Amino acid sequence: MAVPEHDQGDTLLSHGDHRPPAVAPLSFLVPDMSDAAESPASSPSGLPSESALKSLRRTTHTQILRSERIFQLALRLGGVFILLLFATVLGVSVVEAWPSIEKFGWSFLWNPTWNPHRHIFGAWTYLVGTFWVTGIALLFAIPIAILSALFLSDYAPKWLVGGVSTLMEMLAGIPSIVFGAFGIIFVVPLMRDHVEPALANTLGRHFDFFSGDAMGYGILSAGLVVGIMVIPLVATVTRDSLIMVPRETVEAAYALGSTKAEMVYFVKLPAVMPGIIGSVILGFGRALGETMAVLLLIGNQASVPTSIQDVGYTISSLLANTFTYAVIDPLFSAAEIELGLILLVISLVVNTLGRELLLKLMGGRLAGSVGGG
Amino acid sequence: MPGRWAVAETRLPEKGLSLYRQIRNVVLGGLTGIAFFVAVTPLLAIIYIAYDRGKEALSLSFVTSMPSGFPVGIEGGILNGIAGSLILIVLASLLSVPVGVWAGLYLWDQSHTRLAGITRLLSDLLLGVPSVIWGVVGFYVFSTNTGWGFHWGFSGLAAGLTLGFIMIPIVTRVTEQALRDVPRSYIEGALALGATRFQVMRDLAIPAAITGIGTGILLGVLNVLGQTAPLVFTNYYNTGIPHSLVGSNGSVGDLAMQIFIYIHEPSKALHVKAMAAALVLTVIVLLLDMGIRLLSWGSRKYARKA
Repeated sequence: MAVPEHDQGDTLLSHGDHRPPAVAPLSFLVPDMSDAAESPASSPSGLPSESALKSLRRTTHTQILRSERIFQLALRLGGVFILLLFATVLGVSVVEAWPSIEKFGWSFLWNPTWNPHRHIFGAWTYLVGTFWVTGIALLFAIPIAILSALFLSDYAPKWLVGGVSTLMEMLAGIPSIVFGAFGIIFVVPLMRDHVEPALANTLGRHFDFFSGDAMGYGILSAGLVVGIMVIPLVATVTRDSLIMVPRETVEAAYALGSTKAEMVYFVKLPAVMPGIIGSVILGFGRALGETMAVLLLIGNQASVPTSIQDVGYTISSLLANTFTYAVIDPLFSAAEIELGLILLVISLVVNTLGRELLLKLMGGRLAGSVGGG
Repeated sequence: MPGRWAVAETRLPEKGLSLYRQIRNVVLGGLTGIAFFVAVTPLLAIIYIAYDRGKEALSLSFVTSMPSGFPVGIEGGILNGIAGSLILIVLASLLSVPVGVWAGLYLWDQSHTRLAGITRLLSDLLLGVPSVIWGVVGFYVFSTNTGWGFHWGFSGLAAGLTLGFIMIPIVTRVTEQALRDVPRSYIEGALALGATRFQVMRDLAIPAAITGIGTGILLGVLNVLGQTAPLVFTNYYNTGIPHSLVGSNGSVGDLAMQIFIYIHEPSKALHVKAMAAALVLTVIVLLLDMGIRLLSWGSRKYARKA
C-alpha cells in the first residue's frame, strides 16, 4: 500500500528476462476496475462525479465478476481432464477384465494354472515371479541406494557433490530398454559363465535355493538389472530428505560428543526414516511395473521359481509379450487385463503410501517417475 | 560460524575415542563411498558397453539412412526410428501440453478447493501407473477394432496419444510447481492493484513461470522418449516411414522399439546395431536432460536476482 506505483513496476521489471509482465499489470490500473472481492470501495480523486463513478463501477463489477466466474469454471475443466484420464485408466482395466473377474472370482489370485486352451487362468505364477524380481531388485538396491545417498549428503567432498549428484540424477533417465539390451549383452554372459556357476558351487552345495543350471537368463539377472535401474531413484529421493535435516539437530549430536558416523546413524537416519521408507516404496512401485528389461532377461517361462537361478515370468512382461495374441480370445485377454489390474491396484496403493510419507517431509516437492518402460 | 566449526572438528583425528568408535566412524564413511561407486559404475558401464559393442556400426550414415538387408536392419541405419520417435513425441506433446498446462493452471489457481486436492492426488497417482497398463488402455481407447474406441489400428497416432496420456501428469505437476515458485508477493501485489485473477495469470504468473513450464514439457518428453511397452500395444514397429498415421499402414518406427526388436533377434550383427542404437538413444536422452538442467538452472539464477 505504502509503496508508490513505479516501485511496484521496478520490482516486476527486475524479474529476469520477463519484461512484458512488468508493464502489463500497470496497464489496467484504471481506478474503477478494483476487484470486487478484494477492495469494496476506494474513491480515487480526479474523476468527474460521484454518481457517474458509482454506476460505472457497478457495471464493471458485474462484468468482471461474470468473466472471472467463467474463467474459473473454464480452468476447472483442466482438472476434469485429469479426473477423466484416471477414470479411463481404471474404467478400461475393470471393464475389459470383467469376464475374468466374474468367472474366476478371488481364486484367480492363488490359482497356479494358466492354460489358455482349457480356459483356466490363475495369477499365482506371475504374482510370485513379479515379487521375486522386485524383491531381488530391492534387496540389492536399498542398501546401496541409502549408503550412496549418505555419501552425497554427508561424506562426499564439497567440490564433488554437485557433479556426482547431477550424474546420479541424469543416469536415472536412461531408458529401460537400454538397460535390457545391456543385460542381454553383458549381464547374461557374466551370470552364465561366472556368477551362477560360482554360486552353485559354493552356497548351492548346501541350499537348493542357490543351485541351478546357470543359464544366465532368470530372476537373478532380471532382479539385478532392475535393481541397478531403481538405485538412482531411491538414492536421489533419500538424499533430498537427508539434506533437509535441520542443522541444529546435527550440531546437537556433535555437541554431545558423537562421531560423524554416530551422528549419521543415531540422529540423521532416524530423523528421515519416513523419507527413506517413502523412497523405498517409490522404488518398489517402479520395480514392480518394470517391463522391457525384465521381458528381455527373465527367460519368460511360466513356472514358479524355486531357486534364485530359475527362469520365471512377471505380470508386466507377460502382458507385453503375449497380449497381442490374447486379444483374439475374450476370456484370455480378460485374464491378462485382470493381471494388469492387480498390478495397477498394487502400484496405486504403493504410490499413495509413498506420496503421503514424502509429502509430509518435503512439503509438496515430490520426485516422481513413470514406472516401467 | 558454529556449524562450520562442528564439521571441521570431526575431520580432526579423534584422539580421545575408543578404538571401536574410531573404526566404526571410518567404516561407515568408507561404506558410503564404496556404495556410491557400486551404484554409479554399472550406469556408466552401460554407456561404455553400448559404445564398445556398437562402435562398428556407428557412423554418420547410421543415423541418416533407412534399415535394409535381410533380416531387415542388418544394413543401413536407424533413420526410421529417429523419425518415428520424433513423430511420436510431437503427437504426445500436442495432446499433453495443452491439457497438462491447463490442469496445472487449475491446480495452482484453485489450489485449496476439494476438487483440486482430489485432482492433485489422482495426477500424482497417474505418475505411478505402470507403462504396460498405459499400453493396455491405449490399445482399448485407440487401437482396437472392436467395441468402443477410435479404431485406429496399430498406428502412430494411437501410440503418440498414448504417450501423451503418460506425459499429462508430468506436465501438470511441473507446471503447478513452476507457478507456485512465482513469489506470492507479486501475485498479491497485482491483486491489490485491482487486477483480476485472469489478468494475474496471463500477464504475471505464466510469463514468470514459462521457463519452469518449458522444463516440465521437456521432462515429459524425456520420460516418454524411451518408453517401449506402450508401443508394443499400440504401434509396434515399421521399417520405413509411413504416409499416414492412422489405419493398418500407420505404424511408425521408434528408436526404443528398434532396439528391442534388434536385440531380440539371434543375430550378432543386429546386436551390434542394437547397441549402437542404444547409444544414440542414451545420448539423446542425456543431452535433453542436460538441456533441462541448464534451463532450470538459468531460471533459478534469474529468480534469485529478482
